[in-house]
Amino acid sequence: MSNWGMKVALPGYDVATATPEQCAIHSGYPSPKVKIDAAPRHYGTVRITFTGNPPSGAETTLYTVAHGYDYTPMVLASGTYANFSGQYDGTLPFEPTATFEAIIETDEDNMYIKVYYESGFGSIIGDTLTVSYQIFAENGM
Amino acid sequence: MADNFGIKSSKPTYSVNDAKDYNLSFSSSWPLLKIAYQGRVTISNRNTSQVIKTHNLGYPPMYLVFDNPSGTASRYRSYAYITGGQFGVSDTELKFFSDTSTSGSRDIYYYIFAQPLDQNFEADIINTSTEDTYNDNSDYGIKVTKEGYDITSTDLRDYVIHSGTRMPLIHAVQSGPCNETPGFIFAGGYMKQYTHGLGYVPLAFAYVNYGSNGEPYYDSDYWYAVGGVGGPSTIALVSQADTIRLEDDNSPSTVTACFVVFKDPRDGTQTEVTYP
Repeated sequence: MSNWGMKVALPGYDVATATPEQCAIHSGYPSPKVKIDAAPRHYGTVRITFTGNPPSGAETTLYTVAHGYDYTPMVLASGTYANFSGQYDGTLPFEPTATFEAIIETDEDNMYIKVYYESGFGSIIGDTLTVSYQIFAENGM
Repeated sequence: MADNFGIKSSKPTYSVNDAKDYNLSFSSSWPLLKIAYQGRVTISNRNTSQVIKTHNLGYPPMYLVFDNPSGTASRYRSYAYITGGQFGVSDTELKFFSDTSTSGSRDIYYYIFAQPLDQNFEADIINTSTEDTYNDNSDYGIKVTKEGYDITSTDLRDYVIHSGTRMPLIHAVQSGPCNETPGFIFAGGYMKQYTHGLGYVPLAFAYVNYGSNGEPYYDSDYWYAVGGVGGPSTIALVSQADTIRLEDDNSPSTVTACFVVFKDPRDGTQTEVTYP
């Protein structure tokens, strides 16, 4: 790398000698970025209320966002699943009960919030799944 | 911040003078998540363990692995687990550990970040004001391209930082032994809890080193990602408004866990959907 660039040290570190992990910003190490002005939005929160059960033993798409990139971007999401017995939080994908798995996925066209449901463990009617997602500009595949 | 100096930039339409921490695009009081290595790799035979990337950073870094179960799709693997094995990271490499249950190839995409899992950091919570000042500053900001790229590029991947975007702001990295009594999910086993005090449910990740209990499947030199409640193990990562905790229904005595917590709340604008 050429002998130029920009770095900003964290408090307590000398910027002249700070290593990349001791920097708030280092131009040799890019950060993932989410586009702010995209339409539809590349970040947001979706709350899905189940008024019926999805097909059993299969993945079902619950929500789709067309991201507009011509490649498969990286997406990260956290979520909350709430049912009669309580509330479960975590980073997707997660399996809050034996009934289903909450999944986040992207391809070259869309971001998908999906669920894998097994009817043998009971109904999810009335349950809610809240997902907060971020579609990054960086590659996911 | 130790002293009253530094640099910060707000996201478009927020005044940098009173923007909440998470409405800053960056601040010298806490690190951005910084990519050290990234790439697409084909695991040619999942029956065999293999090194994905030799990084030689000298510390176990935060990493993310995305799986490609079909075609061009991408799925983050919160447990860094794909059918056939588990990923782990050491001071020198990111490695796929085969469980020898599955053959065949699989494409994955990985990120290795310049963020040690074994060095603690905790940022101050500087601004928790309930209202930000609107400021039509969309034409201002700071952007830095990667070497060799034009500053007028419209491809955000060409930039190191861009104040007109959301970039992950690290609030805390907290590593330490799992020696607390589990909470509401598991009755036995171990737990580690960290009070971040952010007042909102943040984006967060967790990694575990099993120490001497790790052998043979989990190598004691490696850190493994763990995800939300459930999954292919009995570990639960629970991220809540003021705390994050990790529970396991096993009871090994030498487990160390690391939380990486971001100044990144769930967005306030919520879309309501019913299924079907």
